[in-house]
Amino acid sequence: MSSARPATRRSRFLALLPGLGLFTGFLVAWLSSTGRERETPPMHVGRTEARRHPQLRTQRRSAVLRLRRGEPGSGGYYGAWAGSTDPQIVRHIEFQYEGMQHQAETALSGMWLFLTTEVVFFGGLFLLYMVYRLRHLDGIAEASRHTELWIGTVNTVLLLTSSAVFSYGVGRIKEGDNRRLFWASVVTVGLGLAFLLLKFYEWWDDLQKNLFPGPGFAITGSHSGSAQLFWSFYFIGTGLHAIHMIIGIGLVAWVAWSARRQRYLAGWFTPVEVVGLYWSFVDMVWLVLFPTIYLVDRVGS
Amino acid sequence: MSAAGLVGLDAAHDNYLTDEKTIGSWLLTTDHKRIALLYFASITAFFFLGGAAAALMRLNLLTPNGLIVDHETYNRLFTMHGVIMVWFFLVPAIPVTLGNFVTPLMIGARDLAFPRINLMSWYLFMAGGIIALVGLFAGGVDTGWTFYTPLSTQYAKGYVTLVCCGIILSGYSSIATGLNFIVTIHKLRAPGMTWYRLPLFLWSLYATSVIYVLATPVLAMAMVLILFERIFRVGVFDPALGGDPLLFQHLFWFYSHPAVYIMILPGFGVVSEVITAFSRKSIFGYRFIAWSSVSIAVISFFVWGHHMFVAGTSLYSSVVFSLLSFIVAVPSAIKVFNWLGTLHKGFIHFNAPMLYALGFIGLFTMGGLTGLFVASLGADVHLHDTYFVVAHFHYIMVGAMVSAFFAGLHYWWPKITGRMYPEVWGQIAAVMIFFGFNLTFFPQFILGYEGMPRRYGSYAPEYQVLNVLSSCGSTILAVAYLLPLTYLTWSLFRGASAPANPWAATGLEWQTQSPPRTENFSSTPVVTDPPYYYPRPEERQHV
Amino acid sequence: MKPWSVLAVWLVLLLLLALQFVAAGLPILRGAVPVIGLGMAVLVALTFMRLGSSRGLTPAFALAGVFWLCILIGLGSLDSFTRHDIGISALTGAPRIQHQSSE
Repeated sequence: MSSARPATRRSRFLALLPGLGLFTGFLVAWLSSTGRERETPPMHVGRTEARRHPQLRTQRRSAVLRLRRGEPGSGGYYGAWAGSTDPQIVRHIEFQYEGMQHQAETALSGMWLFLTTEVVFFGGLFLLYMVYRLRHLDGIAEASRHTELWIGTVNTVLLLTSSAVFSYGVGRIKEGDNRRLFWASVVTVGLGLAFLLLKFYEWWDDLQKNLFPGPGFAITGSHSGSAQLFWSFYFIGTGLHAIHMIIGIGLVAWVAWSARRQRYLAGWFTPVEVVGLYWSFVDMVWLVLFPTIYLVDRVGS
Repeated sequence: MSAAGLVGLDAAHDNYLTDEKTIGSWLLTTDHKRIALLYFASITAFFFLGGAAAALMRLNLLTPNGLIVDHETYNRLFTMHGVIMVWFFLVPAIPVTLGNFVTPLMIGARDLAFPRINLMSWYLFMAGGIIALVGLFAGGVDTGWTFYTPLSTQYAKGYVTLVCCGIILSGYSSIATGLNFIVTIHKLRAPGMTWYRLPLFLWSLYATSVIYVLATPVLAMAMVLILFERIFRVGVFDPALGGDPLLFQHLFWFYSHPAVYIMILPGFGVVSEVITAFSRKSIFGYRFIAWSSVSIAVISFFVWGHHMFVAGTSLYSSVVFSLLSFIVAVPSAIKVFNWLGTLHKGFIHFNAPMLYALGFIGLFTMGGLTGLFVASLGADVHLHDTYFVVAHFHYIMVGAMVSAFFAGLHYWWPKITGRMYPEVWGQIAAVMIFFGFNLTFFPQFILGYEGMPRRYGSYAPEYQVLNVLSSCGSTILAVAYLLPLTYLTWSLFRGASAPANPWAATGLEWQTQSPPRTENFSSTPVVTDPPYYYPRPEERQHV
Repeated sequence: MKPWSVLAVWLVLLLLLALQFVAAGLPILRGAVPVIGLGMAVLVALTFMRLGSSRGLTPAFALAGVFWLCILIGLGSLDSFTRHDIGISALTGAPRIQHQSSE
């Protein structure tokens, strides 16, 4: 360990990130799957039917009890739910929704709203960068030349491909093809892991070159301060992005696992769409981060 | 004791409290009503914790030299008071308790759009709260709730990192809640419940949720940047590196100004509900109030620079922010006039919720108008960081907002618990709160105008009289806050059983039993009436 | 999305990436680099995230996000861009300008 290496607690903190991210990803996946599965899907028994066919009365009564207890998927009782009565699909409908269409639309718009919050989250960081770049253009330009362009480029291609592959997978499950979705998810996870591996290597390389801001910073001279600002932005931006990647990998891995168990249907694949949105969004963030860090100031004027 | 015993209902009235009684059914519930109660317990605890800090502060300020604590501790006290009250009481308060409970009932839905996310938001809130409390009690933070750099990042000795982590978690809790409300109000309305038939409480909750969702992530980023600076000892805002400490303030106030509208907008909604119900009269200018809530939510994002007039921002941007701050006062004023228009020729009942709501109108007007003083560039140079600002925001946050919280709490108490609270005690508490509050905070306007700075544990001797008055008022206020705690708890055991609609109010939540059954309605309601369809004054039939 | 459409969009994105490199190499086109990046992000949103074929609430939320991002960055940078003092340049020893010129 050379004396130029930054304090080990930084590396310890960075090592925490994958664990935290994976844990969060699986937690989110588990939370969204609890309560969905039902062993015996309740049948839609209307009041008139129950009156006419006494043997259906017990079935209706137990459906009512399940509804009263607020069990998700116990819908179908109040007849306000048009659309599919296929029990395989109905058991995925939560009791506050009219039908699968209603639930899927709501879930997707909810995810888009969440992505809007993420846009504003990263936007704050970009505000910081923009202001500093305006004030200290030379220092920031010089600092950005120390980034590894080939790693950034390869990573961009990896992410673009992974986004395309997962989008393909979503298209496949619309036709009910769990197997192709499984393989698309596996490839996506692989590409994501490759991205992260390259990223970790890049960080290690940056740390070796003393590019972490602080005492012993590699770039000295009049631009040292603003270069450190750039590299702070670099580590914060790529660090936050990596955390989102890790969570995303967890989510896509969960989709892969569920697809393996043939869990999704042509009539119900909302979790896949929602995860796809998240994953593509992580890609979008990188598409803005990449030129900012690696490209825009690389060639001096 | 079981929840059924608390509520004292017979078995004929199956409701959300009696359906399942295990601890697990409460801690893993996805029922919005139970989550509202979980939140309510947490919020109450935080309120009294933050209030205890305030009590110690006011006690300390009885004498010019600080009576009980030294300056270091005083700094930690006001930081604790600010952090707890802002993030763990006011920002969540009405939306997560009353909002969570009442929103699906008001739109005729069986639950919110994302019940599990609702539960997750409570756990995030608790996690953030516990982490922040550990930080605040283990040794505290002395930066003030505003965490200005470079004090918070380079010089503060304390648990800044812990508290910031707690704040980030609670921030994501509110993002989850806001997301849930927005999507629910868009997607889960019962047949016939058009936007213009929505109760105004939901319009203001919607506006609040927009702010939750769009402002809080910027706070998260500001906190992340503080964490980065502290953990890695790297200057992001360090002037020595070319950084700009003001950028932190921009990011912080981009959230924190809309945050104060998060705190007040639900109060507006509650007051609209209570005023109509207890004047037995339709709201005056429904669409004006509805759209003024939305416009407050939008314009509130444009005014944050008024917290930084004397921090070194450019004169040009200060002028822009000052002008926008004056504009944002207009929708609030529209609301006040419309409430007065509702009261006019109303058949007024002075129940406890109404007393709180009337107090709200007066106190909010004072707080809002004094906000214009500090929004003026010239006046702010004199008033910034004095007790004038402290009085201004306490008039809104405590005088108005806490009154609105109690108004809504008393108004919906029969629906939530199935019990009536003792009316006389409610009225006594409302009046006592009003007087105690004014005695506490009105002297602070004068103190600030005369130049007493805020966040000081000691002061020049000529300020003592007003400080003593203020501290006496805070004692009355403390007792007055304990009153509802006492009689509301009492009502859980001994209160009269509440009918479905004790106030004969309009609104879908009153069309179902008190307390509601787990799935809220026995069949999907269909809405055909306009909102607040009370008879017009000339059509009233007095018994 | 049909598989061929996915492939087509992927190729376009790679093309845009190459274009970005070209623009980054020419000083006159430097300003286009982040614009191309934003364009790629928008393309991903419209195609892979199916924003282009959505109706109702989804595009409303997406547009709201863009609007608020503009407010954050636009109004947030207003002060920094209209201030006249420059941060301490400790190494050059240049004095910090003490006051702002009055408008």
